[in-house]
Amino acid sequence: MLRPACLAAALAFAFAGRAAGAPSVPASAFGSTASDHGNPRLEGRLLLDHDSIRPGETLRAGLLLTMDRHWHVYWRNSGQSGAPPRLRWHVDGATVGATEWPFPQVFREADAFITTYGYTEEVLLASPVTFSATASGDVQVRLDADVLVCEIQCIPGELHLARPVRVASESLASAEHELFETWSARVPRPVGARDIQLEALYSQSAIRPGDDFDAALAVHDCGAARPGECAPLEPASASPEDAFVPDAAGGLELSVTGARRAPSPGSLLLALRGRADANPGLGESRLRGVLGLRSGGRPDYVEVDLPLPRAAAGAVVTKQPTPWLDQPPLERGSFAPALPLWQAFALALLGGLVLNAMPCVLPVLAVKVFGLAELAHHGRARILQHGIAYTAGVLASMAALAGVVIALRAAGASVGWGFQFQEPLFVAAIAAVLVVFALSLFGVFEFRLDVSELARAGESAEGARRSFFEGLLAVVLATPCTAPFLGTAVGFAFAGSAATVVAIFLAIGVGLAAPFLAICAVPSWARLVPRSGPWMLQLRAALGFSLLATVVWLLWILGRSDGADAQAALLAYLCALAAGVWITGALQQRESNAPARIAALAVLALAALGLRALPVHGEPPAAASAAEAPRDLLEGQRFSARGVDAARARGEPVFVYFTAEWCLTCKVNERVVLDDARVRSALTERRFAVFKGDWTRGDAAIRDELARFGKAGVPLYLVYAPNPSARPIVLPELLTVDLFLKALADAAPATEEKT
Amino acid sequence: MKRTALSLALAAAALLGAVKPLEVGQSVPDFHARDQNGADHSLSQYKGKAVVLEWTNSECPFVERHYQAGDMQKLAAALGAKEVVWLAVNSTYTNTPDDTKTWMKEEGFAYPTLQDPEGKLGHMFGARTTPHMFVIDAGGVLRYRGAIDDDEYGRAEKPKNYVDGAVHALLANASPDPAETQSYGCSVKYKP
Repeated sequence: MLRPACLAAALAFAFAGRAAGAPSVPASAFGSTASDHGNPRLEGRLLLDHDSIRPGETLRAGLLLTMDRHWHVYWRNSGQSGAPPRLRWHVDGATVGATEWPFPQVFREADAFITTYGYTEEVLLASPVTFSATASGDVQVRLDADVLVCEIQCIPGELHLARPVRVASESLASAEHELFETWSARVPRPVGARDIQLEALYSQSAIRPGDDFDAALAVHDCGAARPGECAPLEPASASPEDAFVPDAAGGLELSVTGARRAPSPGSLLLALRGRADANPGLGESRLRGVLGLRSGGRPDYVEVDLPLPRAAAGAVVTKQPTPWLDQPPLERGSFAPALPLWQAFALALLGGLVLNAMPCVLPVLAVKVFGLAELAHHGRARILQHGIAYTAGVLASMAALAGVVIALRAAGASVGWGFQFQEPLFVAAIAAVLVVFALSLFGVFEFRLDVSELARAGESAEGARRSFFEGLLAVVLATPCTAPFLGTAVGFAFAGSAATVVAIFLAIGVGLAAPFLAICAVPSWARLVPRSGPWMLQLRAALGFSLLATVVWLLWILGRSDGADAQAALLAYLCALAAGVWITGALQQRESNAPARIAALAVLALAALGLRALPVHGEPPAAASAAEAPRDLLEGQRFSARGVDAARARGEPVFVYFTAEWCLTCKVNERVVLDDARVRSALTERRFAVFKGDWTRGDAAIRDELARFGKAGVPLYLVYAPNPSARPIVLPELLTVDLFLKALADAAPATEEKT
Repeated sequence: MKRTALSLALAAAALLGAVKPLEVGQSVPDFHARDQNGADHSLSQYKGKAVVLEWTNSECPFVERHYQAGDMQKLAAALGAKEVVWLAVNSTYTNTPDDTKTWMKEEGFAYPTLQDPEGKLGHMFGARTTPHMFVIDAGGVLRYRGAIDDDEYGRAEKPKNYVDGAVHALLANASPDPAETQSYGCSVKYKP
């Protein structure tokens, strides 16, 4: 029915040669098909690797299929849907051998409910053509092909191509020969004489019709024979489970459930889940499929053909142990830098130090230095006491944080740097603390009745307690910021043992506290602090406002996560809290301490109760979701490892970034660099697939991906070149436009538009 | 109650995608679904009769080819004469009952088309393609799962129709052979 339209389209496109790089062929050897409302989605070209061939010799004939972007055709086993291409060659005086199928990609649809195997963009399906000794003259090589091409919808196409080849006294390679060589390198070969050995293991002695079973495909390289001489084997695909693509012959359905690191170095174990169909016959007694491996950076594609014991229905079979399933799983390739402990330690110290200059901690440090000025008339010992108290506060909160991290991790929760900001109640509490702190700077009340008074932890001086408290606050505020060096150090900690977490966190604390401690400890530095005077009142107020600015930011985070109602509730709560603090301050003016003390306790109790009552759950109200807004380029697709792998498998350059609303460093990078017009146009022109991982409320998949790059928190910026085997470029935590543009250009040199 | 529990279980299964689809030889749990007219169909109401389920999508070229050739309509009528129930199922998430009615008028068939836009039945049976065929025997056991025939591109002079073979085996009190084949066609367009 569609045929006339197809034909017209084929004629119209016959000489267009629209696919960039596809060789031009005679009109009879070109066809376009699978018309999608008049637009053909598939082109076919009949290619020959020889222009002339001697009688009795073999050439290769092939069908080069070129699909529109995002469309795909299928492998010899299409998987759970689709249909494989069917090629019918006709060559007089010659025999045509089996199709050589290059190693396929794995596609997953409907949340992996439907798995299929095939090719995107372009594939060459070649066959050997052996001419008889008596063949001569111009011989027509003809091909009739049925090819199903799918994007979301599927369109069956058909091609009828023909091309002459000269059978003569001389064999001459054609211009297309090289293309055959390129594709031939991707065709899996029998194991043969190579150093690789394959072995199949099954969970039962024989497989009966209808049986479910576990299996493993073990790949041993030469390591067994010549230890240390071979590079370890790796899956060639981005996901280890895509390294083995099973055939479906004989009613065996196999799927790869994961890859395992085999006990001997250089070996690889693929865990399989299998099911024999219920057909009464014995069925296939071979385990067949193809393996895509990489060893020493070079890809290697291998045909798998191993015995698979079968038994009739009702036969007695014995269970076999499956120790391979207990091997640790092979993660998707890890890009975490291997650091010796001392280096991670040094990075932690350095990172903590640099953290002081980041916008999160700066206000606290300023308050601290200002506090010193007030103390300038005190003795050195007194100042040093403050320094030590501050340091103790920093270290105590770091240790507490490490403890919480270890406990949560032991409970199986997904935690990372700054994870406490994933809890909206925490954000609200910190906003409250900052407001109270700001009010004390405004002189509304005196901090002598502060939180630590309740604890009455010894009779240390009032100022020292305050310093301790400020140390706590510095740590609490520091976590949504990350600094250069810090990401790597924290990532190292999160990947390590409990002791490592504590050690690295304390090192960060030491780095964080170091500048203030140094000012306190070194007399000549302490003298640099200006003398106190009336100007200090103004400075106090200014610092108070800088803390209120931080509260604005916290309110914004809460507004994003819980909506305007929750934000308003928090504002009302802060307002009431301020009033309570003001009353307390007023009472402090009186002779007796008692009323102020009672007021302070009352405010504290009400503040705690009010905090519990706040309507914050980390769930934005349904109406507040921005689904109506047009999708922005930088919104990208929601991050999933599968999505990224699929985009890379399609040969697209990919930019992945991980961010969180509470991550100030992330937000600054996004505003200043990612939102830059040059960056936006580079991403569009170079056709980057953009993925955004939002870690605002935590997410195990994002945590795992961060860990893969040795990070425990956001931001993380990754740029992948279109070549699926290329390593990603990891950008630093502080981006610049130039740096980012260069990375994009390196990964995806400007491509010519396909027309 | 039971029905609610099953719907919940199916919904959970659809959400998690974790429950294993039915295998050949297993008893099919009772299910309910509405057809294009809103009429309720359950497996239990057809107890004692063989039931053929045909996953369909009017926009899939494979389905179109079979309907234009009359394969499905003819087979359904021939088997219907032998008291076999034929139910089409559409799990395409964009499909509406009106779309189904239009398609039924165009292709001239009257057997009910169960509306499964949430993909519950599709996930329960493990339907992956259109067409994808399932044959349930009179006792409610799944006896065939797979392709309609052995001719994915419609090239064969005399394609082997697996559903016809399976139903006739059942009517003769025999086991279908093959009882499972690899289906071909478009993937089922499940609700994302």
